[in-house]
Amino acid sequence: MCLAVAGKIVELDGENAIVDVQGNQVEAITAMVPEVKVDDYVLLHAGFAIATIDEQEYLQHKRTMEELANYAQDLFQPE
Amino acid sequence: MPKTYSSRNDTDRIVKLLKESAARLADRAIKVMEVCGTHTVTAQAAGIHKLFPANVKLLSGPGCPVCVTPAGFIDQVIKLALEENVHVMTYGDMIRVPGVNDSLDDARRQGAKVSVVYSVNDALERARKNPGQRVLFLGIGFETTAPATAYAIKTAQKESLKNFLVLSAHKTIIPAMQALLEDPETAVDGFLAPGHVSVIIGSGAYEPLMKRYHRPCVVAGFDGIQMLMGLVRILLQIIAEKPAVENVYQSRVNREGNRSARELIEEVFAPAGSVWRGLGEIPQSGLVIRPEFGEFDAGKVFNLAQPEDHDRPGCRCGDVLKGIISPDECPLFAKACKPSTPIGACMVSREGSCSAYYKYRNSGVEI
Amino acid sequence: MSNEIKLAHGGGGILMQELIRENIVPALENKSLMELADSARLDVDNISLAFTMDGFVVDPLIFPGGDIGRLAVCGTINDLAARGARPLALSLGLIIEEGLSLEIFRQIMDSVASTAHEANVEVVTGDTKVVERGSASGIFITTSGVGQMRRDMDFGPDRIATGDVVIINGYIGDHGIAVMSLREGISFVSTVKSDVAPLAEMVGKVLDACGSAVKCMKDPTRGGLAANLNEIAKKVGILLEEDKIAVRDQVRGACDLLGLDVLSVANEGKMLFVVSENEARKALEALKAHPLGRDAAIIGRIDEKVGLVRLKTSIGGERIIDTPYGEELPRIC
Repeated sequence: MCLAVAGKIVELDGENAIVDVQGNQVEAITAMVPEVKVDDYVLLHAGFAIATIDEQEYLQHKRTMEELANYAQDLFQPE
Repeated sequence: MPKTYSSRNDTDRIVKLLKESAARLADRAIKVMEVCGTHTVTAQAAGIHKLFPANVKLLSGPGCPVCVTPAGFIDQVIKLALEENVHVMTYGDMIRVPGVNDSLDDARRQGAKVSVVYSVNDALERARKNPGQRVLFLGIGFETTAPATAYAIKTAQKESLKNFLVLSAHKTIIPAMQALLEDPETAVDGFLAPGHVSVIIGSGAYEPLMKRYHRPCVVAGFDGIQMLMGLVRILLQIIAEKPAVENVYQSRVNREGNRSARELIEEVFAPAGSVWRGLGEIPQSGLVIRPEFGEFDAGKVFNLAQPEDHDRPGCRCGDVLKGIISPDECPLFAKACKPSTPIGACMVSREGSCSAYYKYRNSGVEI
Repeated sequence: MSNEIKLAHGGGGILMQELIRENIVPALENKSLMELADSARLDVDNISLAFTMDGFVVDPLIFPGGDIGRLAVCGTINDLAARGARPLALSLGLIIEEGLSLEIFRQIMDSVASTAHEANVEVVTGDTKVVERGSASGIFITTSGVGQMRRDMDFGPDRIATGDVVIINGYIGDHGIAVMSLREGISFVSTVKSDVAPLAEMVGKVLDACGSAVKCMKDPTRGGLAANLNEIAKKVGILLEEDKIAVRDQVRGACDLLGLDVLSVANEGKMLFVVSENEARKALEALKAHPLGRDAAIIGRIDEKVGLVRLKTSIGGERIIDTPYGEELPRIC
């Protein structure tokens, strides 16, 4: 639990969106993320957008990697 | 698409950190449990078990909502399909799971109308297009999926779709984690928390439980790197002796979760006790449809009792799910109980511990 | 085994193998059949013929990139090609459902004709039946084919040895996804086109270049790479490299969306080659020089872990690739 993929909103009409997942277009309901606009990235699960995603989420990934490395460094000195 | 980020460099770094952290704890066997079927599948798909140091094990807990649905539920659905002429629509996960004897797939052969759908919206659409045909949607899944079912029920009410019915088998994860932790025999050192359930409930949802039981609990996403990062975080907490609820999936999960989604759940469903295959009845762990939406509740419309479990004597799924024994310590494992003839929850779908263990047992990779 | 044939028995996976092993082979027992190869070998005087047949029950009949007509011709040609045979002639069996539109029927027949022409082979005989509405989904087609094998060259799993490499001629998953996007209950719009194509000419080029250095060939149709590599790994082990297997972004996206394993998705224009390591480069060159092999790559290697097909994942882990149980179904949980 549970399969969800990142996609980009390419059409939006009220709560009905078309989300593009790597070139595949799927219908999705945006009731849970009412603030979204066209061109936003969302997390898509079973036909519903359940979260918005920052397009630059890879930056967060980098930050988290650094945090882990630094924490480890503080705890013990890894070679 | 969000730019993909992880590189072989990242993996090497994280595997190194994993080895070093595990080395600091070399005197003990560390058992981390994930409680999410998709984590089980991701771990296998990415092949991460091969990268683990010898003293670190990742167990599969009761995170596969299909596996923990009592066998009796399937029998109830099959009966409705064959006797009440409902068109059963369900996520693909459910279709091959056997009830006491048959699966929905088998029922299809016997003339039952059964279809796989990707979204509950497909079931709504079918109900709209065929007003004379009752559609029965199976509400399976944890908090990630429950809001979708709730939305569909509300939509059905708004549009007066009298032929749209839902049989809810939705469950919530925290009561199950609590049940595991309450059992003194449960041998788990920390939890990898499910990324997408956490999108909905927020990482803060685990805090009260972990405050009581002092175990590391780290939210992780669904690729190999995310799971490795989560594991490293847990090991570091153990080394520092500072168990806490933390999150390595910060780009998508925050402490509060998705309020709109939770409101949908609360509006349509109420918590109630439910039976988990392999674990028995857990209080407040299921979601039942509220009376105000009763006309869409198949349980009410057809007067169904709570589905029962029918596990056979000798089945030790409960102990496997709690990390007390490993699959090969169950007397039925690989004998009466195999992926092609599954007996309990752990073997029933490919996400179960026993089914994964069975697959890897000759490969030299420890699962 | 259950006491009834299930839909999953046709899925190309474990159940189908069980059905064949327990109910079909024992009834028919003969040397050629026992090989259970894609094509049977018939030795007549001093010629070796390959003989094969295939049945097509696909729904939808028409899909992006092709239709059941093209599929029927290519399926049989590719089975002949997998045995290194040059296709000589095809037969065409049609079981048509009452009510099928004549326009669609003509389109399918045109595809049969144009695909056969493309592959330089003729449909020389056939049979036509019409069944009542509801007995067939539009049309069922069976094709059989006969081809001439190369002198002193045979291909099969028994020839595979440790150290051999596994090559495929391009991207995987296209056909299965192209077809799935049109199924009921799976509402997504995709521009993925089926890869359905006749491969005999391409295979011919590889054999011209490498001869018997090619040990075994298989077209990974139903069940994808997973089912088909497991079929040839009875006496050897296979280790694939995830990074080397080409998958289009769109196909990967569709698989992610539906929870499908791309390794289990059907292909209809792909051929797996197991080749001696020292001739691998020549095989690749021959493939890349052909329009249907431009994206050819070495995707794995044969080793001694008998019966185990494994994947070295892109993060350096390892995973076992099983034969799929039946047809792949979308999952969400």
